[in-house]
Amino acid sequence: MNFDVLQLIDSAFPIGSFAHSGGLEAVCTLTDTGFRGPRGDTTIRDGPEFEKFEQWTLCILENAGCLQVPFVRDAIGANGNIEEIAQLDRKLHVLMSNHVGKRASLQQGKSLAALVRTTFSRHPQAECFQALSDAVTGGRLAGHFPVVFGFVCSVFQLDAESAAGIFLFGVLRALIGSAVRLGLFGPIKAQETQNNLQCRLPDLIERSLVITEPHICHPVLEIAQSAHDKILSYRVSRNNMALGWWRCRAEHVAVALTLLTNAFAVPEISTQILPPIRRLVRAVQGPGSNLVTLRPSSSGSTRTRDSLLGEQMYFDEPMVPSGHHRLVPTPPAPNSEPAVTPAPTQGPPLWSAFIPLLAMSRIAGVSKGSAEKGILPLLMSSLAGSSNTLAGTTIGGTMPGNPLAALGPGLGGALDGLGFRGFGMDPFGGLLDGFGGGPMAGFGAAFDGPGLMSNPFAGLFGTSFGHRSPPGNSPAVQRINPPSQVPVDVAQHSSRTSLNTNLHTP
Amino acid sequence: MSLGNELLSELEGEVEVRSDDHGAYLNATEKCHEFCCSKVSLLLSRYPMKIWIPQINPARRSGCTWLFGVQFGGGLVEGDNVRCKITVQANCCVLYASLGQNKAYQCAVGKTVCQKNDFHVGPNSALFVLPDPTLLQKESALSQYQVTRVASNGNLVLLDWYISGREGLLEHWEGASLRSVNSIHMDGVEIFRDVMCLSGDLTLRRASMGKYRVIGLCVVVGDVVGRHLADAIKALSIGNSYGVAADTNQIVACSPLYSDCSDTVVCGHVIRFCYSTTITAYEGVADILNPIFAMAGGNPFEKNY
Repeated sequence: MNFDVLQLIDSAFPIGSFAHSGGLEAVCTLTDTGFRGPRGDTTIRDGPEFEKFEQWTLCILENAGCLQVPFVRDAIGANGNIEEIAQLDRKLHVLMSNHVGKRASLQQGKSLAALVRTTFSRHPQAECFQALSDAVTGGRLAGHFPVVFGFVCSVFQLDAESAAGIFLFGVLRALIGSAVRLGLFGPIKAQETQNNLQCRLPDLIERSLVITEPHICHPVLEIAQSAHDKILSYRVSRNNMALGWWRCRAEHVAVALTLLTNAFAVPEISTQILPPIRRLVRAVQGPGSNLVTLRPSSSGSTRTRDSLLGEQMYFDEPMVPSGHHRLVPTPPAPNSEPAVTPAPTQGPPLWSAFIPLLAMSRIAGVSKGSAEKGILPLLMSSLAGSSNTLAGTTIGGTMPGNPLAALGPGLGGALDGLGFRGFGMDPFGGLLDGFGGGPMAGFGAAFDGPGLMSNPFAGLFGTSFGHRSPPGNSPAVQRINPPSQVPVDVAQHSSRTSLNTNLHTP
Repeated sequence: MSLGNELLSELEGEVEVRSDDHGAYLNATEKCHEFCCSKVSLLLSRYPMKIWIPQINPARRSGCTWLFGVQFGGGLVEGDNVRCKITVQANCCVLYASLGQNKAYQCAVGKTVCQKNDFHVGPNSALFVLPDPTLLQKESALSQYQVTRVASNGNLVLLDWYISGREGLLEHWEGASLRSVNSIHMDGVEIFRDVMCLSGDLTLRRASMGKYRVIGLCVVVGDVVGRHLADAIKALSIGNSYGVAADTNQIVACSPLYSDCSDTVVCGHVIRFCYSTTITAYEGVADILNPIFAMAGGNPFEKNY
């Protein structure tokens, strides 16, 4: 038994294929499959819906079989000749004009090339892996996954049929995993589905191995996958929405604490409790807002360094909540009096301070009773937890390899333990957290990133933000729609919403 | 004349467009002042293809030369093997369109219809290949192969789109086969290749096509057209707004096209789309290509839907 091959096809082998849905996510969101509502609240059940899902999955498999398997076959036929591999790689690079699929293919291929070099360093033909890795890092190979995979299989002396089978099995496994993460069905149903679909693979392998001109046979899938960035940016917007929600809540809390301080005139609160709270609030409002780093691209648009799925995205709008409410101070009327700080007695009633705390507790999944028992510790821990978790998850998603990648899910799990349900949200959470220690730490965290957004907790973020204005003298809530028509300066936006109670005078 | 006969033995249509020797650059106030006045220096066509040059050029003010490629019978029938070559010399601007939807008619089992287009775009030139969509009738078998060679500073807009069938007869992607290959070379290096093949299991094909009646792609290459289409491409790259459900009646996506493997030099874009109705497809494509219509001097789809 070839244990090296078993290790290669093991789901724990961190090449990032887990994070690739093969276009399934885009299909669910952009077409009327009916699998999933806009808030991800639909689950596939048995019957025609499930049959439809199986058909879509087969279509994705056919696309992979018709386009990529011929390259796996040809890479095996190259017998380790790097020059031939480079030609195949170039051919696939030109053929794969869908930038989303190309990105995923390149990242998986590069990961595989780097990983086999280190993992199989004691293999009798380790120099082949070294040569492959050198070619990728040296730029001779773009490093597409099917080509690199075929090369590795040829070193392991697998025949084309076995390699194609392993390749398509990996695609199917990733698709089923993505479906579970999308909430289409549970893990047990997933295994049943995978088993049902596996029986279709031999026929597909047979057809794929005789293809002379690689092609796409289901173009709508290709088109939907090309549009994947749109839904990702939608999700990142939701991520920003989450951050905006925390900003909003942090400001609520700060206002409430200020009022409490003024009302009770307790010096300890002013000197000891309030400053760290303010620092946390600023931490949420300030640097933590850099969820995704933008830089100008050569095409004129802006592009993220890496997206939550370990793929690059394109953005032409600032990373602020888009198409929804954001906090903007109401400009004073032309002839109105200058802004005056409201006296504490003119503010909202004292009980209003508890509203954001209770709301926060409820959304975070803490029972009403436990929230009432210790509001202040809860406040502290929730603020700290939220900022850390957001930072850990998102930084991990944007910076593959960052040690914080493992920190995010870890904190999420810790918060789960504390009763903040919703942070450790997916059935594969534990499995994906395992990526944290490996060289593909970014993928693990990146997968958690979308996971965060695709769970009901994210929906709560989305529905809650903007619908509750702060009590009393609050910043005005304006609707900005569409976002592209209004230039928004992030820094300006942050300064406007900074912790300053004087700001809220209408 | 001998040259013409020789060419006709190989091709069903050939056009060559050169810059007008006597014509200077158009007045800067004209719409399309990036390119020279141009004239058709060679025009050959034979059955079943005909290439028309409109006597009254709808774009006479823009300097763009319009050409219409027409098939006798309004489409391709079994056994047709149409090859067309269009050469655009330096500093010219050409629009190649059709006068209506081209059709691929029913073929006997095992027979196909072949169409091969060969486009050459010279330096500082522009070629807009904007035909109407090809309607794929039930049991049609079409094989289309389009190769475009563009100079490094040439410009190209290549539209290739298909309709699922005759709506009145409830045809929906029931053609026997469709094979479409689009290949673009820049300075001898292939920078884009798209191979789409619809054949095999009809149930799966229908499932994946869903309600979409029109699918296609539009490739944009070159600085000048890229500059004109920058806003449209930017709009296609923006994600959906929060809280707004995606319009499932259409999917439009844009991918950058790189001139090398390092993915650093963007030389164009690939716009892929699918629409649920023909009319929305026409309107959507016209919206995207509106700046190109301004360059070309008009909308070739204006009265076609």
